[in-house]
Amino acid sequence: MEEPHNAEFLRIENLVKTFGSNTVVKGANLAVERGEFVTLLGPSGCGKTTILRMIAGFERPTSGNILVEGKDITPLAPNQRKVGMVFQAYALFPNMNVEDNVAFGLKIAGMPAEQRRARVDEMLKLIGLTGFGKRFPFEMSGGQQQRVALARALAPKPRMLLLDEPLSALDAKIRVSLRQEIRSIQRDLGITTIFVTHDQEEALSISDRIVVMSAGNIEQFGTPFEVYNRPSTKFVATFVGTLNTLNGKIVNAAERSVSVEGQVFKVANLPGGATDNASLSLTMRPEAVSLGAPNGQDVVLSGKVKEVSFLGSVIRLRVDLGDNSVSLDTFNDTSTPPPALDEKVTVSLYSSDIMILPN
Amino acid sequence: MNPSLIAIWQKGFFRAATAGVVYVVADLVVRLLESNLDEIVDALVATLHDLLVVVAIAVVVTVFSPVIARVWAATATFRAAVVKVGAKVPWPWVAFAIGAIYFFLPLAATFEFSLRIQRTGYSFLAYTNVLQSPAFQQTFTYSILVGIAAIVVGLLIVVPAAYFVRLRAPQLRPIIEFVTLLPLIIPPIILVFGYIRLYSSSSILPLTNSDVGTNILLTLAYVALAMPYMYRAVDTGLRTIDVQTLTEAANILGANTATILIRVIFPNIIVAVLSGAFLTLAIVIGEFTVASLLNRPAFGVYMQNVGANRAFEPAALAVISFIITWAAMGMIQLLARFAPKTAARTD
Amino acid sequence: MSNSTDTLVANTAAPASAGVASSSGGPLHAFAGVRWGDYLGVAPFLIFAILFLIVPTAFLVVGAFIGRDGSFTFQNIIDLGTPQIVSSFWISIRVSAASAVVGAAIGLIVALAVIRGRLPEVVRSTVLTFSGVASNFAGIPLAFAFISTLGRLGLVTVVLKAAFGFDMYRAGFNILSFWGLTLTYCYFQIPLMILIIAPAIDGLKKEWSEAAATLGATPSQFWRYVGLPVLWPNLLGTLSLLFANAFGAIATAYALTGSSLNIVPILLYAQIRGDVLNNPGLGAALALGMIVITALANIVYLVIRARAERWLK
Repeated sequence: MEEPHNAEFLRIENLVKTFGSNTVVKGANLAVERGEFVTLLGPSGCGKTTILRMIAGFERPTSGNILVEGKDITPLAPNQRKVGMVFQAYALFPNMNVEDNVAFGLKIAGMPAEQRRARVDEMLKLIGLTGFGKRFPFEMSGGQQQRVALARALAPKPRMLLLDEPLSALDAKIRVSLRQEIRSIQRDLGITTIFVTHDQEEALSISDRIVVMSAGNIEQFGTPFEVYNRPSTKFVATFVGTLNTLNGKIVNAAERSVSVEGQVFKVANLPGGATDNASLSLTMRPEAVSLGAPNGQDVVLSGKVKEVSFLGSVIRLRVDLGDNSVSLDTFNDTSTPPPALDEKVTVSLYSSDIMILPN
Repeated sequence: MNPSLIAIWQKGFFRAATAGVVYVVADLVVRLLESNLDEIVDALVATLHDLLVVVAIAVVVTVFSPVIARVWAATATFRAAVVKVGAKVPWPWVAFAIGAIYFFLPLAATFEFSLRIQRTGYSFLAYTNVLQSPAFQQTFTYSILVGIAAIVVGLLIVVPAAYFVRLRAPQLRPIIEFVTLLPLIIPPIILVFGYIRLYSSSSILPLTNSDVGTNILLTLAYVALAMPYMYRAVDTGLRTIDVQTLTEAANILGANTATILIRVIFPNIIVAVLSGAFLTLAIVIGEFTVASLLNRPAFGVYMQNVGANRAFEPAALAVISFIITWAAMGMIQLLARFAPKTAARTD
Repeated sequence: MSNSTDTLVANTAAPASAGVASSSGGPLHAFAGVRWGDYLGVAPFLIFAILFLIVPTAFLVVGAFIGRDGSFTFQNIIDLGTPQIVSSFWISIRVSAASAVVGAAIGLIVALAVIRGRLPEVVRSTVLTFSGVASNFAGIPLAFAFISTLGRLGLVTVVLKAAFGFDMYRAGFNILSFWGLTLTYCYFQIPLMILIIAPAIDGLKKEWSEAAATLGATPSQFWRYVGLPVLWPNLLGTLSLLFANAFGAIATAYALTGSSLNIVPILLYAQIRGDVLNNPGLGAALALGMIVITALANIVYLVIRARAERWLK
């Protein structure tokens, strides 16, 4: 019997967690599909790790339910939930070598030794560490230990994989290569995965969908494209990627016309209750702003170059527009040198790229 | 033959054998611990006797293991209920409570005993007897003075050493650390025995000949006993205040080493120094072995004397001694709150 | 004192390059690049150590090999084989082993309960502070305390008789005995165990038990496969330390059982006081025997601790 596509696998209903007088998770609702890779993204203290630990069973929710495949797992102890977990600090058992670590879950489940050995070999091949079986954790690098931790979590074929900031303790280069490896292993196995991180680049590059959290609340739940290009709140827009903010004024609320630095143009929508002459924050991504005369764009502003950072293939500029400034990127052109400081320049953008966000 | 039956017998035998071996080994160990040398053979014989009994029981258990297995399975629900009740018992609290009783009871009992000096009712007569006796006052004063002397001498040798090792000669650290281990490895009785032999009337430094000399020897013995703790306290204090930077700063401003040590370093490690001092005092006050073998009128010797001759005063002395030790340790805890805290401190 | 101060001044004022450096190799390698003035600071410490720690002990060790007539001999060592002395060593070993094992077991249970039993933080810090004090509360006052508790007129004895009609002493218990002394020794052995094993238990990372739980293990399975195996070296090492600690103790035994329990330190004490063995060399041999045993036990502890630390990096 084939599993229905996009079947719901994990559901979190009105999950609340309070520590003393501090409410760390303020009513979370989430539905994750089978085989999906979902990332909980947010700054420290936003509640993402708490939610993960409640799914694993290490924290009891103050109220709310967690359902896996339709069944409420909230009353189950952690060792009964059949989830695999990978920790930030690797947490490999120091008294056991790689083989014994990976085989641990199988041993507890009562698998006979022959089968265990076969499964361990299979897992070591999956993470690319065949032949490391007899090594001990203290003899291996951080990246290797984390891969072994991943193998150990996956060996007993759990129904779900939880990863708690697994890459935060590793070097930058390893972080990039290992996150790709985790993603491809996850794809091959088709296992539903919840990944926690504070690094937005990590989240954007490997997730199917991202849950952006702040101070215990879920701000947005969407694909990387949606979260980046259509942020639903100011927090999401600033936390994920860079954001330009222009201060302007509403000219005519009914016609949706606004003015910035003397330029008047129409925007796609205004917040409800907007009045004439009220001040307004207009935000847009740096890549929405182009350097030079407009090529179809309807908003044209002029200013002076304040900062130039030559980053190789990309040149990052900061342009002072008077009361405002914008940051924008332009590609390196071998025949044209980058603009000089204090050079007068024109910047243009489409009004449809402007986002007006609730705080 | 039913294969599962064989498996049950195998399992039963294995379990009975393991239990039997564990029991016999424990039995042997306990018997050996309890017997004098001449009783060892009897102990071995008794263990052998137990071994035979254990083997007989193991054989019976193995033979009947299918029956036992069936009975065990039948009691499954009962056992689950027991486990459930057992899980509700707060075992950590129980362990803590038992430990607390073991440690608190002797203190309470000693205090109670010390009050019983008059046949009927409680009174502090034992305490007044003790506190007013000239022997108490003299030996207590003597021990305090020796303690202070030991603290001063200890500081004079430890502080410069810790300072220089940390600052200029880190390669000497292994040697120094080894030396600080020695007083913990060499029992005090051996140390004082060595002193008596080495510094007796026929040696180069005939310290035992005179009272003054013997007092010096006693002080130095206490310096040795307290040295590991004194060094660790001072070393930790130096590490906390980042001696290197302080010294360089003072140097640039023109100070020489002695000035640095006395006016910059020492005031900043006062807390660590006081900790070491109180620890030394605690060690010196109750010490018996060294003082007794050197025939010095110390507090520990006085206590032993009272213990041999009187019934209730020793309990009063124990209480007093305990209060002093607690006071000294309490001071150290208090001082820890006032210790300088820097970002470099690693607990 | 001004001379040495001037030397120190000269050395600190001079540029850092000045130094008595031996270029390479040889036993002086450890001292390469160190100015001689630095040694003045460490000198009093080392002189003290040599004169009042190393030489007295060495003197005794050598003295063990000197016979009554002053010549070198092994006779003293051989004389350690007399029944009285061997029996004395055996009693010491028994008491030390018993108090070490009991102290280690109870100390481990209490430490586990306090650190991993999810008790309030204040309980943990109280227990550790108390252990710091109690591990020093050995000697004469401790003996008095236990006599007041479990002696013939002790509080517990009296209460048991009055409230439950149970006469401990008639049932065979006696505080002035082997097990009585062991019980008394536990009063400083248990706190010492708690103090030393606490950092090792702290080192059992929470993530390990959480990881084990996600892999399906019950708490007892965690302890069986991960917790106890990781702690095991520390336990053995500390057991050795407790053994050495008890072996060298004398004051408590002296005040409690006197010479009725003839442990080695008490025998040595009698020998120092009055040469009861009629042989000064034999006393030194006794001391040598004690040093060898305590040194070995301490070395075992230090070696095991060093190896265990490598594991838990």
